Amino acid sequence: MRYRLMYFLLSSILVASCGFAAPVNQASVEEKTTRSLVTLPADTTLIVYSGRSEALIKPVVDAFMAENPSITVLLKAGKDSELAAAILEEQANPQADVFITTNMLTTIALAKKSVLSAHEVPGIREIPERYQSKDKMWTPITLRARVIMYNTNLVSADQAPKSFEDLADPKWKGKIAAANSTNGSMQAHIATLIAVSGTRGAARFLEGLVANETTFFGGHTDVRKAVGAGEFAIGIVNHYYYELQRHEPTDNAVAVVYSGQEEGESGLIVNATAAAIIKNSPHPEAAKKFLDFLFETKTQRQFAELNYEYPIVPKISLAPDVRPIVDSQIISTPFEEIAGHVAEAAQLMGSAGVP
Amino acid sequence: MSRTDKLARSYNPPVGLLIITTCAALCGCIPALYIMYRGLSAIGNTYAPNLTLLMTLVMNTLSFGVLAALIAGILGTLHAIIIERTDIIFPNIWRFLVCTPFVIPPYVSALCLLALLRPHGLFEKWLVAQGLSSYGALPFDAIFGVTGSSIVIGICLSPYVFFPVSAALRQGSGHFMEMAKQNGVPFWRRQLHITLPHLAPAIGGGMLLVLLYALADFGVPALLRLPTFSTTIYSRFAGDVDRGGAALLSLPLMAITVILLLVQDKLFGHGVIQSARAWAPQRLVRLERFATSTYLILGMTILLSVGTPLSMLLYWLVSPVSPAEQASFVPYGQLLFIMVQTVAYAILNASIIVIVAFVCARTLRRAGTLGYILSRTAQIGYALPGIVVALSVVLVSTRLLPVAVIGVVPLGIALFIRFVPQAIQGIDVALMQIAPTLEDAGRSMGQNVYQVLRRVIVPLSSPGIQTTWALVFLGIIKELPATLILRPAGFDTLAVRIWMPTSDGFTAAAALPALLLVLCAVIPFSLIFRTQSNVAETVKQPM
Repeated sequence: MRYRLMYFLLSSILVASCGFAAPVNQASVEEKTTRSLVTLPADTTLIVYSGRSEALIKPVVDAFMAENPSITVLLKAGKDSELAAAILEEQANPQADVFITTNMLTTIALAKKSVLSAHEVPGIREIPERYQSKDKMWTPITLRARVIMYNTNLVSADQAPKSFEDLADPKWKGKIAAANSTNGSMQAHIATLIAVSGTRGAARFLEGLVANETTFFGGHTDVRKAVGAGEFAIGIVNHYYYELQRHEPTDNAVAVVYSGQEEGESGLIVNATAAAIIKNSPHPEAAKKFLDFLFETKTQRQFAELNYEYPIVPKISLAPDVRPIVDSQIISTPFEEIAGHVAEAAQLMGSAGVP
Repeated sequence: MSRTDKLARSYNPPVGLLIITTCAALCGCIPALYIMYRGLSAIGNTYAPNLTLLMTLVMNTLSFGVLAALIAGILGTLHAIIIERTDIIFPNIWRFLVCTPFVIPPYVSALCLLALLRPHGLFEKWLVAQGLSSYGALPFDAIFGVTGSSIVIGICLSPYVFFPVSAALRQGSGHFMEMAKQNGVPFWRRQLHITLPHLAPAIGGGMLLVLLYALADFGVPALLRLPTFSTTIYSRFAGDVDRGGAALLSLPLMAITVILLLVQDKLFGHGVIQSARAWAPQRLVRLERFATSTYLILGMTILLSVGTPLSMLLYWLVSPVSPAEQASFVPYGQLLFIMVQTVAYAILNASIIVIVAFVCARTLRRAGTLGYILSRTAQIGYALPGIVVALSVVLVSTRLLPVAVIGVVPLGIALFIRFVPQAIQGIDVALMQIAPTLEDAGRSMGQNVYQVLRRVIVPLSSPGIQTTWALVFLGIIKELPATLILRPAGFDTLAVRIWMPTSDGFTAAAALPALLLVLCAVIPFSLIFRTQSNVAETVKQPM
């Protein structure tokens, strides 16, 4: 009997705490749509596997369903690479219609294993050819820039590194955090370096990081938190991690450096999020409609606002205070060429001693 | 005392039992076959893992697992002995408190501990603000690596040891101790030669579960920056989607599991059975001058294991959040729906798993070598990383199951593979405590196998079965890697709702689902406590 009372007390405390927290979260709840994730199938049910976090794709999905009442989208958000592996294993009997990834290299790898189906979205020709899939197997959605973020309590603006090359300076010994060799964005970064400045250049960059005793994390969330907290002075991240940290209520004394922007330099290293239709998908028509929708101006603007990203479609306004990028300041190597260097990048990181 | 297996193998088990065990074994084989299939086809076209990396992984994984098992073993046994064998006040409340770490998923604990104790974390910041320390003066980075990971797993999973040990202590008869005492054997030697051997199967079995859990765990070592087999296998799926390489890396892990299961059988397989006739109540040890230190030990572990995560979660719930994090909050109604869904699904799966595990555990020691091999095969999946189990189930189910039944079935199969080993383990321990003579007696009085089962075996092992059910239920509601991959689109569990925001570093949005998960865990808890309190009565009945 005594412990019955304990449960009662414990549950009351929990319930009370939920109530207490309510005012804090009220705003977000009201903004959210009331439509539940689990709805009865209407005419068509579209299955979307998303490597993008649910919070960063759900609003877009809701807008799509509002516009197409006959289509119900069921979302399965997870990790990019695990969903990709699941798609490969499901090949015999595909379960998903659309795959959204945070790293175009994943879609390129899937395209090579022929589990994707081609589709040309209207307007794709307006974007630079280097961001496109030659055989239309995948569609780029947004761009993400590789940047250096630093803690302004530890590093002043004039002392801050100007480019990735500066990170080899011994004064940063033990002060740098980065993602490890298994991280998709890091792999893409090194593969791009190989394409731009050759194996030697990429190796020099990695050896510089290792010589400076860089700490390598599993993901960029750890990097941004560690730099924000001041555990490390400098972090190598995608630009929106800097934006996320800057907008945190605490530990937000951070600034950013966009590398390679001077005249004659190679330009900004970028990666793309992408979407693709699964081969033999159960609902190819709805899938095409969904991909077209992702490319529409209003959806592209939504992506920009949701996660501070750069819309792939030109001339779309960015989230407030996000630094604009110009096409001419971005590296000129086509994405599909970069994908050709991924294996070498993995090898290079291994031999340089990046965990 | 006598050996169970020799006596017990005298009956031929019904064919039905063998068929069910065979099905369980086939399910258990799915990941193993997958690893062979993918691994063999990858040889030659994947990066061979270099030897230094492999050795580091073996060292890290084993030292992490062994240390975690030791911590859980020591804590669990200590707690059980203090609570069951001393005159401690309010034993029921303490019993509840020492089990609560189990309701907090280890990755949530690790997350909370990390926020508090990391370098430049909340605690160090507070110390610096108070002028008590400066940044880097204290070794806060000790939390990373083997130390932190094994402490988190050891503490969170100590109930795996506490439950069976406490049950064994309650069921245990005092008559050996009385005899020894009357013959002048001193206190500590009595504990060493009588209590400890009696507890060995329970302690060993519990520690083995912790060790196997640690081998497969991803969340804790990943958060605490310890490269293990499991984390490396996960990351092999990144970028290049190298399924073959990941499969090859799983091979050593699988080998370690098989070896551990065999070693466990050699060490504890025979069990210690109570004599049914000479039951005598246990004497409680008076704490006297050890009272303060005892309460201090219990209090400290509970503060560390439950107090810290719960207060961190509450702190996050009420602290301000960034606009991006606001978007990650789930409406309350939907969260409530997910909670009900999680509980319903866990009840269904836990029940199926426990029923099958009961059959397997009976077959394990009663159907000769074949039964033994089949039951043990069903247990191979336990130490494999969730992602390997999940992908193997994806491969098999998309090929073999008709589209119509896919839904939540693959997830059910994966949960079965993950949790049946643990259930077999738990029920096996419970069955080992029943003297075969009782079954013989029932049979000799003309009862058939099912009557003996219904009237002798199930009632006597029911505390063990109910505890096992509760542990499996708790395991399922906390399960993440397989659920993440295999859930049908649109199907969510609370664990998934915790993972989603935390993977983006949004702890406040994860706090409420985490607290709800703790709330769900209270349900099976009440069951465990009800059965645990009844154990003594069950056994005390004159036979």
